Amino acid sequence: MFRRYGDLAAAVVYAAGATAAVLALDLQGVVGLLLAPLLLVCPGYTLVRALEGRRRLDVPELVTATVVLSLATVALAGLELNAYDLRLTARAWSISMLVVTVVAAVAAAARRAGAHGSVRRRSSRLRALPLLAGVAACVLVAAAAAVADRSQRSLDRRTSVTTLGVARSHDRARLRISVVNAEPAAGRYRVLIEAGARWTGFSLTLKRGESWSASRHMPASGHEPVTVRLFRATGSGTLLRTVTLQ
Amino acid sequence: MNHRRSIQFAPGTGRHAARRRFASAVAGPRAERSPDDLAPAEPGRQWLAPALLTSAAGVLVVSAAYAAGRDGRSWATAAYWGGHLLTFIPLAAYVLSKSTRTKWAAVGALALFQSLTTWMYSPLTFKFPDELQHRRTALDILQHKALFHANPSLPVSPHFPGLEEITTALMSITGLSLFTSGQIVAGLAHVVVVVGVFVLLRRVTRDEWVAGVGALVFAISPHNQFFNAQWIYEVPAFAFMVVALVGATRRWSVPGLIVAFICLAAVTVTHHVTAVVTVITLFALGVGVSLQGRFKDEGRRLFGVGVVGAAMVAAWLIFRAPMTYEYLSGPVSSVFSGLVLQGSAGGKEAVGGAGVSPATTAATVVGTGTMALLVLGGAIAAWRRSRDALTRTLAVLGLGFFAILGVRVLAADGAELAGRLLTYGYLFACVAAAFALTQRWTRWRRMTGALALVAVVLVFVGNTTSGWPAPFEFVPGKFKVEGFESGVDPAGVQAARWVAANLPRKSKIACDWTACSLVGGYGPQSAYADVPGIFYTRSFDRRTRALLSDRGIDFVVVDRRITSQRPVRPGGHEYFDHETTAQKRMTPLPRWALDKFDRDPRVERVYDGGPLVVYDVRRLPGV
Repeated sequence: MFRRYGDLAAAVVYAAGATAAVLALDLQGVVGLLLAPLLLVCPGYTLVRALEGRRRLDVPELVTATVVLSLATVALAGLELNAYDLRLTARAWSISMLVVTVVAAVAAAARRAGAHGSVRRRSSRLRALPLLAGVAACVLVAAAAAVADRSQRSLDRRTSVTTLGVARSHDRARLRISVVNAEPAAGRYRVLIEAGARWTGFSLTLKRGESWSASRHMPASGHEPVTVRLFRATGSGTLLRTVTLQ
Repeated sequence: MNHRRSIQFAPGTGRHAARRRFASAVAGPRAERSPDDLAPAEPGRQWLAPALLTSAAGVLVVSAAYAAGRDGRSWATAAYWGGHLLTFIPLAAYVLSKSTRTKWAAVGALALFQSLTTWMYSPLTFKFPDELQHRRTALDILQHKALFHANPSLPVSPHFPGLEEITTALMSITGLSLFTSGQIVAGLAHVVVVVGVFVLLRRVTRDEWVAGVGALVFAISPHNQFFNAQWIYEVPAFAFMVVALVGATRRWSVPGLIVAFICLAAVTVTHHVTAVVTVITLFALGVGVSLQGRFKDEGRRLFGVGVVGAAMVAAWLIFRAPMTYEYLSGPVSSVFSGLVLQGSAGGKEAVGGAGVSPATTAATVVGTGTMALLVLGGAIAAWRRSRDALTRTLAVLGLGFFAILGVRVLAADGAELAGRLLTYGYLFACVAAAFALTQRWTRWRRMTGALALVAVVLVFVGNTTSGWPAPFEFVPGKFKVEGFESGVDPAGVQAARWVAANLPRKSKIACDWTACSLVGGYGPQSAYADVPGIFYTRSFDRRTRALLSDRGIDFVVVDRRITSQRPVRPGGHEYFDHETTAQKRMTPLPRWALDKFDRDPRVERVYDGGPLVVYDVRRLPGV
């Protein structure tokens, strides 16, 4: 029994577990990646098994059909959900994929039950040399990925710039000021706001890559030209950026 | 032990019987009579592991070359080529050898390595303009939890939401970022396309060797190596197309038809051109096999699937995405006018137009010429060696390769159009090329094998120089004005993020080509790169203000680096779309042209991000 339907049962159990995890937990990052087969494997695999004829597919056929039918199922299910005004949330995606998986698994089981003879499985032996080579290839690729990630981050740090942006509120009485420290190290900055003869200023310290934004009252009536300047607060106080509002 | 032996050699079981069953299952009864065609000898089997290991080492070298490029090392490009060839040659040699097994694993690994090197090129953010355009559609789906919201940067994209649906679904379920989810979806689709081509060709040609070599040639087509590994809607659509063809070419099986219909529906909602090409391909194959007297057997089925596909595509284009006609009319008319007027359309590019040095141009010409010879010779060889109508039809359709070369030489913007068309053209050209590459003359078997490897390497090098990334940015690194990936740097991304967060949603923003890609990708605002008149004038005179008013421009994003660098792309776009000849001559853009933004007291400078500045021009009179 298990030998005949084990793969379908595994797909359904996994899909049900993954759906429960999506509904009950808020998994993120690498752990969240464990739920990806709910979209990328389960619906396609059970559909393939439901649709395959007397001949069982070999590995390349199975891989291609599983992934492509999974992707197609997601694309078409999204349209269906949207057509019924169901919001495309994690809940909707996971339940719809579970439904497809279960329905296709039931259809596959029914077809297998009607088929004569037992399902043949090819035994595969793992050989030491290919296994070692595969592991070594994965290590090399992981090293390549690490090199790429690190060098890009390093370049971004070197070429990032500190920015100043200002937006005026509708009533022109307040300014929304935003500063991003994209320099390689933490920095202390001074912001000066000049409106006519009046001015006001404040200092802030931002860690590397940190952004800051806040609303500030205009130092004057709100109908005068305003200039906002961003200085480095350390050393000679270099002027970094200037914004002018009329 | 004895028992096992007796089982192994018993009639109907054992290795030889398994091979016969496998051959029968894959290729039908004819192959059952000659199982040796499908079941290669044992000796080459052990070479897959070393080939994979060496190729993985090549990926590491490419990654190191990219890192060197980011550090500004002069040897980065040479190292890139070393790693690129090291990744390809061992797997190519493995697939080209007749005696090796599991060729699908080798071509699948090659596709996987292509995906990895594409990701390593930009491992943190989307940089290619098309990816940024799809980013906007995906963000809208995430924000509204619904489909079909307008995307000003690529209006047709929300109406073909397959890619974004899959990616945002993966994001929702896993909690991964849009970039990570996009890379997973694109990588997975890229790999299954190549493995799917192997499955398709094996089904059609009934020859695993030809199928493996065909998939190898397809994998190295100019745009497949890098462009089609990016997060763009062609990639999953092509996977749907290939599996739809697999389903349609399966003889009279209902499951095959169901698979074909599911994939036809998916390709219809994912990418317009691929959907149309799928339908045309089905009809072309149907005509081809019918002309060879196979209408009742294969032609009827292909026509039937084609009619259903055509109905789906027509219904979608008419009722859901009618603007597709307008979107595609430009490139289509460019192709036809280029062919009809024999290249007199403006902006034509010769073969090798993407090259920036004589060496890359020469590599492109040699690679393209080699492929042309392979296609021509292979079509003849396929016609002689195969009696199968479908195989012959595919090989003859491969001659369309020459028509695409014509587009490249004669049409306006031919290099880009031909590159995109070649993705489809290679699906047929690779069949013909595979027959040429698997031709062995008994007397010079080893020499023809070596020649086949040399030919494939020449095609690979030529397709690399004529494909993606452009030769001026083989390795990432220094910022280049109006480059594709190299035109995107942290300053541009920060400006786009600020615009997205702080400017009104319905604002209209004028900018240069790269800045517009970023602004359109990050925010809901509409970005226009086709108003060069704003940038090339000395002051905000009446004409400039009228232009701003006509286009409803509220803000202008200025990248001051366009006054110090010429646009790096040869022959294609300049700083802006629709530049006049006089404007094109003014490169780099004169500094005085941008000074007016700071001189005019009616213009507000609302964002200062170093090289990128955002101006509010709404207070100019008449705007």
